[in-house]
Amino acid sequence: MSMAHSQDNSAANLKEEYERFTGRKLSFLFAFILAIILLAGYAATLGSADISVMGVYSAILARFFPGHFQTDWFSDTIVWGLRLHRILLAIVGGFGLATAGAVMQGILKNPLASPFTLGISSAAGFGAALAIVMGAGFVGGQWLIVGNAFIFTVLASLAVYGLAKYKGITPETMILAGIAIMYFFSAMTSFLQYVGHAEQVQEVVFWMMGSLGRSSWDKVWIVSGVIALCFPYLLIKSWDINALGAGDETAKSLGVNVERTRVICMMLVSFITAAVICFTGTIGFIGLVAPHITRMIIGGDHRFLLPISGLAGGLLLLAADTVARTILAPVILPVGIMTAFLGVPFFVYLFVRRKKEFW
Amino acid sequence: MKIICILALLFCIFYLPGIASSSETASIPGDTNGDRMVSAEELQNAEKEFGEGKISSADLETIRLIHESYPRSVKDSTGEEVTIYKPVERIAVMTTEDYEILRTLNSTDKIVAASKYIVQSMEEGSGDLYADGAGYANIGSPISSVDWEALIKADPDLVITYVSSPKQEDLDRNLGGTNIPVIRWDSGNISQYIYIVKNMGRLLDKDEEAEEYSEFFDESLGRYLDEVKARSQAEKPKVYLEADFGGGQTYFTCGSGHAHNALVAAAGGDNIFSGLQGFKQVDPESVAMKNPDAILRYKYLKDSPGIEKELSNTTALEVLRDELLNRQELGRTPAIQNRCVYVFTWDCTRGGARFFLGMGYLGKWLQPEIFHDYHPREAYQEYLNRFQHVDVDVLNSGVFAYPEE
Repeated sequence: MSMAHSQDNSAANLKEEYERFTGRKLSFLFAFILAIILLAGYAATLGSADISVMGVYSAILARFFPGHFQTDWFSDTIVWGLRLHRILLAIVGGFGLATAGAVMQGILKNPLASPFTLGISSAAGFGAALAIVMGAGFVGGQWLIVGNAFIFTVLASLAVYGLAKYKGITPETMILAGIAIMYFFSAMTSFLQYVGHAEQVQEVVFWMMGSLGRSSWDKVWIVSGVIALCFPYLLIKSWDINALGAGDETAKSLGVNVERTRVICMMLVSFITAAVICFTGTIGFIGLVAPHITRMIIGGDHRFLLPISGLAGGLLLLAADTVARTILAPVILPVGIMTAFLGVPFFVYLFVRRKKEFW
Repeated sequence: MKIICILALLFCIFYLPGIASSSETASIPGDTNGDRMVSAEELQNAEKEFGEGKISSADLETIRLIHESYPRSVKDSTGEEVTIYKPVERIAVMTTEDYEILRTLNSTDKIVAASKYIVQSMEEGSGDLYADGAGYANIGSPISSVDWEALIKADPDLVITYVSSPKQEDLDRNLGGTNIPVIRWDSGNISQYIYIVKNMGRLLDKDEEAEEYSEFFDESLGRYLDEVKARSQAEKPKVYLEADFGGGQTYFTCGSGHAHNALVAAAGGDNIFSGLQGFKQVDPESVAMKNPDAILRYKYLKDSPGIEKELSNTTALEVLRDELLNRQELGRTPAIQNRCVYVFTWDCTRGGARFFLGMGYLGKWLQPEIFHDYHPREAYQEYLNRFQHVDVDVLNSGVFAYPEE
């Protein structure tokens, strides 16, 4: 009787402990959501146009409650036509890049892994450079650069997959294949810069620094759509990614199809990354560091790590873009520079403060 | 011991010739004491050698010319004094602007090497504009990759290049010891252009040609630019200049220090971002807030309408203009409301086209009262025919700007 009672107690304690464990993580999840909402609300009020805070919120609310809030054409155009889609692209773009980084680090069991490790940024950069310098690409018109960046990113992922498949899908083969692809596309981009005119080289460099200046509502919907399509599967597979962290043998013994999980996850995060960076240019830092920051705060359980990394990435990119477009106004700095300026000090702070190993 | 002997031998084979070649200098005819000038005494020696049949009469004439007229010095666009010690017979030209100046001065027969933008005119998107330069030694690009070996092999006695390209340390490292004078001209700068033409005319003994061009420039364009200079700041429209060098991004503009800013200023516009330095992306809201009276869009693409296009083939430029006209955030600016939105291409900013076409179109858009009787195509055609001797018809073909009026 007393033994059964003790078992009940122990189970209750365990459940309580687990609930505390998950509760803490959920509280971080909500804290990040709240921080993003607050920062987005603040970012919406910043800009060169002289619109008051009330003017901004009236312009936002007038679309939802036309009878209750009044706005003018200028405020409506600035807020809805310039600021809001940029803010949302920062959030969804940062979410996508950070999630992709967290998944890559998980499936490759490598703290330095990110979609960019597999040559994705180099491929996108080459695609854009090809369009800028040679005017050549798979699609024409205004989609030339975007289309090239996207298609070359997907091609790079397929090439990494093909090379790794040849030698067996392991973290080592994927990283080595990725590094080979990265150097190949980097060399091709350097060649294009070498033969290009000074102005074209400058354009390529600007593209590769990343910018949210090309945002629009269409792009927000496309990126959001891709993330909405891919993220649920990654979240479902987060248990499997956790299992991969314990080693391929252990994961297999737990019933995980290691190779399939690794390949599908890699393809999905490549797809997400391609969708983001074809519109923004290469913003590499988020995918590498946002998952690390999150891991240092909430640990390595991918069920929580994936969404919270995404939110941390969104928050970081939004903060970086807000500073980038206001610190030297009217000049807008490339956001890729600002993500590192803001993220590195925070990362180093956590790195120094943290006593136990987080990886 | 054997190893020391081998090392010494290798030193002699590889190092000594290097020292010898690096200290080799372009020789000055008649200069016997190495001071790079011909003194009266050295001229007498030359006359004596001519009497003895050791040198030809042409050689003697050259030595006499050097004695009488050299050295000659000019201050280039960097403020550096460049000295020429003998008549320039072999020129390496790295810029299309200076190539056009040499054509203006009827001095292309002195060119021995040129940049790829001249030698490979067709591949570099200039059509037939520099077709006569195809036979020169190709010395690459002054901006990204000079072929130093080809340049030295061409054995020029004058190199003409941009103000900042190639970098001075590259020039010193690669041409150091050759004593080849290098002149850096800012030939895209309207305030220096006539000075450059006249000084090059003086260096090449082509003063008459330089003067003829100077008169033509004053008559065809200079007088309009003088009128613009007399305008007060208040009479100059506020201009937002958007530059797209191929990346397709919006809201990149050119501030002070950029050649396009100088173009706007000379044509009578007040660049709203002249306070910025160089090429920068700006906040769209700031453009709307500054209320530009005119918006100019510069497009750089190899497949953009150019010198060889049909006159009516303006679709690409119309699309670019429409995109600007439809930007909601700029919808309330005077520029959009009055449809003062104009597009011009790379073809308008290259060589002489920068002035006769580029500045001309900008003048017509920004100061229509002054430029009302100026015709960019006619002025450029006359420049091409009279001074460039190029068989290119810009009256009945070519798309450079939209709308032209």
